[in-house]
Amino acid sequence: MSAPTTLQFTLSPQSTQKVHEALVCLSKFSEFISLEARRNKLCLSALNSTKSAYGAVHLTANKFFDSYQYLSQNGNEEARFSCRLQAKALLSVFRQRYLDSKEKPNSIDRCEFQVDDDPSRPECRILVRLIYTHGVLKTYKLTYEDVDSMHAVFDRESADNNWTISSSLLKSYMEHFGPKAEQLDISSENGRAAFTSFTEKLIDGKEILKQPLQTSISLDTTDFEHFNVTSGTHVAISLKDFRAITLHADTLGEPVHADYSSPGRALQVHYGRDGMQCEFTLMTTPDTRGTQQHRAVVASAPQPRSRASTRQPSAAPSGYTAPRSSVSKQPTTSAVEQEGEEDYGLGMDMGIDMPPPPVPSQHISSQPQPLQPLLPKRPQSTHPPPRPPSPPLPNHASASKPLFLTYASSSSSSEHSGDEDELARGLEEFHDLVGWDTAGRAAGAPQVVAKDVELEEGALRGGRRRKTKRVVDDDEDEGNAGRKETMGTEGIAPTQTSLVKGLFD
Amino acid sequence: MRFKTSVRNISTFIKLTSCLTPISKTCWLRLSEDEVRFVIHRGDHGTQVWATVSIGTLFDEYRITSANSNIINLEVPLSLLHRALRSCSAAVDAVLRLTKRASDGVPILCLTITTSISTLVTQEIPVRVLSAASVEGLREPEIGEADANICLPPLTQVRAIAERMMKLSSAGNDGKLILAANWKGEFLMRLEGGEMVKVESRWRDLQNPVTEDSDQQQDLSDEEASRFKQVRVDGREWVRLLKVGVLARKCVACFVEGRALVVYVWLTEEGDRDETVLTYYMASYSA
Repeated sequence: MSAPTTLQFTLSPQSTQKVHEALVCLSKFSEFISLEARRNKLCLSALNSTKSAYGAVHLTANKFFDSYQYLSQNGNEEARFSCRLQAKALLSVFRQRYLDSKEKPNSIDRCEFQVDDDPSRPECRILVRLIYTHGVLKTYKLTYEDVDSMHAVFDRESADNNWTISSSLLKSYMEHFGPKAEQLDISSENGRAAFTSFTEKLIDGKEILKQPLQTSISLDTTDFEHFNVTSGTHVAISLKDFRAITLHADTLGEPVHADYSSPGRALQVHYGRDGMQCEFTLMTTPDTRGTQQHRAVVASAPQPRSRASTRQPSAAPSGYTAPRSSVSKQPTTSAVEQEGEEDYGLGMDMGIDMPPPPVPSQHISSQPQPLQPLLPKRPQSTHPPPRPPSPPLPNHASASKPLFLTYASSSSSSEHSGDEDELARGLEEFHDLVGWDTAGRAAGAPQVVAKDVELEEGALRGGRRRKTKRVVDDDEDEGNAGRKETMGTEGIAPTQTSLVKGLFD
Repeated sequence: MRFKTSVRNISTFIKLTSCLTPISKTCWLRLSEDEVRFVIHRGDHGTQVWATVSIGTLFDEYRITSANSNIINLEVPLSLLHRALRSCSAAVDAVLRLTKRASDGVPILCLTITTSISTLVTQEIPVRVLSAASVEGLREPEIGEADANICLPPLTQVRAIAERMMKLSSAGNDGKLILAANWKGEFLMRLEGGEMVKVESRWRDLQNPVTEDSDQQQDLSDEEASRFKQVRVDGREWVRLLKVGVLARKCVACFVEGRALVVYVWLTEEGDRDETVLTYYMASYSA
C-alpha cells in the first residue's frame, strides 16, 4: 500500500490559458483526460474509444510552470502519479478567460493545482485554486479516478515519411473541409502533396445528395517547411482528429511535424513550444476507395506467430511497398523492441481469452455514461508480470471489436469466416503496429506490474476502491446497452487483470 | 452533356445560395445557353423560390452542351454547394464543371479553386441529373395582379418580431401568421392564438411601389386604399424566408388577397448590371 503522494504546481495566466487550449483539444478525443505526474514533467493525455487515436501534451516542470513539485513517498526518481478525470469537469475549471486585460475583474493572477492522494480519505480529490487579480479566490474540488495512464508507443526512427508545415497554413487548408467529411487521405506524388477528404459510406439513389462534400487540396511540396515522403504514399486518418489537432497547433503558432511510414501503421503529429510538447498518434488506413482488394489479401494471409516476426510488416497491406528497411532494424535502445514483445503478449492474451459470439454492433449506442467506478491502484512494484496487463473485458464485443481494427476492416471481412478471426486478425495487425507503454517506461525491461496483488488479498484501501468483481458485474449489466466509450476505456483499465485471473487461472 | 464555366462573381453566387439554404435542402438548377435558374419547388404548400439570372451575372467562359437543346437540369444539395463556394472567398480563379466522380461514377459538380499560385482546392458536390420529363410540369406560379404592393421594412427587424410571435403561437394556433398591407404605406403582422393571445405589429410610412403600365392605384377610393389586404401564411416558413434579410438590398411584398404572398428580394442595388432578384411564393391558408 503506497503512502500519499503529493503533486502541487502553479500556473501563470498564460500557462493556464495554454492548459485550457490543450484540454479543449484533448477533450475532442475522449471524455476522459489522464493526468500523469513525474518528478520533472506533467502529462495530460486522452485515448479515444476505439483506440485509434491518442493525444498527449507534455508540460516540462521547470519551463511551463511557475512552480512544480511532485513528492513521491519512496523518493523514487522514476515514480509517477497518474489518474483520470472527466474532461468536462476539467474544462469547466480551465475556462477561457484568463488572458483578459489586467483591468478586468475576471483576470487571474495565478492558478494553483494540488493533488492530495491521501488513502485515509474516502475520495480522491484535486484542488484547483484560481487567484484573481482583484482578490477573489475560486476553489474547485475535482474527483479523480485512480487509473493508470497509457501511452502510445511510436518509433519515429522507423517512420521514414515526414513533413513539417506552418500551422496557420494547415489551419487555412482545413477550413475548406465540410463538417461531415469523415476521413482524410494524405498523399504526394511528383512534387505535389494532397489532402483529400472522403467517406466510406456508399449511398445510392436519392441518398446520393446526402453524401458529404468531397474536398481535395493540392499544394506544392515546397509549401511545406520540410517534406520527405516517398512519392505515391497514401495514408488516411480521421479528419475530425486531424482538425482538432490543427486548431490547437495554430493556437501555439508553431510548425506541425508529421511522421509516418505506411498505411495501416500509426502516424504521429507533434509540435511544441515553451515547455509544452504535444504529440498525437493516429492510426492510419489506406484510402480504401479503390483498394479493397489489398485489405482482403492481407486479412487472409497467415500471420507468422514467431516472436522475431512480430515487428515485421506482415500485416501491412501488400499494395503498399514503401521501403521499410528501418522497421526491421531492431532498435536496441528504444522502447519499441521491448514494447513489441509486451504487446505481443497482450495481443495473444486477448486472442485467447476472447470468447466467441460478440454482441452485434447495433447494440452499440452512444448514451452518456456514468462516472466509472473507482479502480484499484496498482502498487509501484517492478516485478516481472505473472501475465501481461490489461486485456480488455471478455464477452464484450464493443470493447474488443473496434479495438485496433482499422476503419476498413468491416468491408473486407465479410467474405471471411467469423468475428473471432477478424478479431484475432485485428489484434495481431494492431499490436504489430502500435505499442502501448502501459508501464509508462520508455526504456528498460518491460516492467509490467502485478496490479492486483492487494485485491487478490482483499485489501481494499480506505473504502475507496471497489471490488473488481463489482466492476465486472456493472459492465455485464450494461453490456447490451453497449456503452462503447466505457468499454473502450475499460479495456485498458489495469484492474481487469484480476478478472482474467479469476476466470481463467 | 457537358458543362464548364469559370465563376466570375463569387459574392453574388454565395448570396444566392445562402438565400436558398434556409428554405430547402436541395434545389433544381436549370442551366441553359442564356440563363441560369435556381428553383425550389417541393410540390407541397411550402414556399417556392424562383430566381433567374443571366449567365454573365455569375459566370464567364460558359460552355454548355446537351442533347436536350443544350439545357441541363440538376438537383443540387444547397448546403454543400454553399459550403464549397465559401472556399472561393480568397480565390484567384474558380472553375465549375459537371463531371463524374472517379471512384464511383456519381455525377458531381466539381469546383476547382486556385487560391494561390501553387494551391488548388477541389470541391466535389454530388448532384442528380434530372431528366427533361421530370421537370416538365414545374412552372413558375402565375399570380396575376396584386391587390397591394409594399416595400417591406428591414427584414432583420421583421424577423425578430416574427420569431417572438412564433414563440407565443403554441397555444390554440396552428403556427400561422397574418400579414397584410394597404395602399397607404402600412404593413402589419399579426398572431391570433385563439382566445389566449393576440399580437400585432404595424409599420407605417412605407412605400407602395406600382408595377409599370398598371392602374392599380388609380381610381381607389380613400376607404379602399386604407383597407388591409391580408394573407395567412405559415409562420415558420415566413421566419425562414426572412433570413435573407441580411443580404437583401430591397424587398417588395405583393399581396394577392386570400391567395398568395409574393416576395421579391433584390440581392443587388437597383440598376446594377447584374441585377439579381429572387422571387418567393407563399400560399395563403384559409382561417
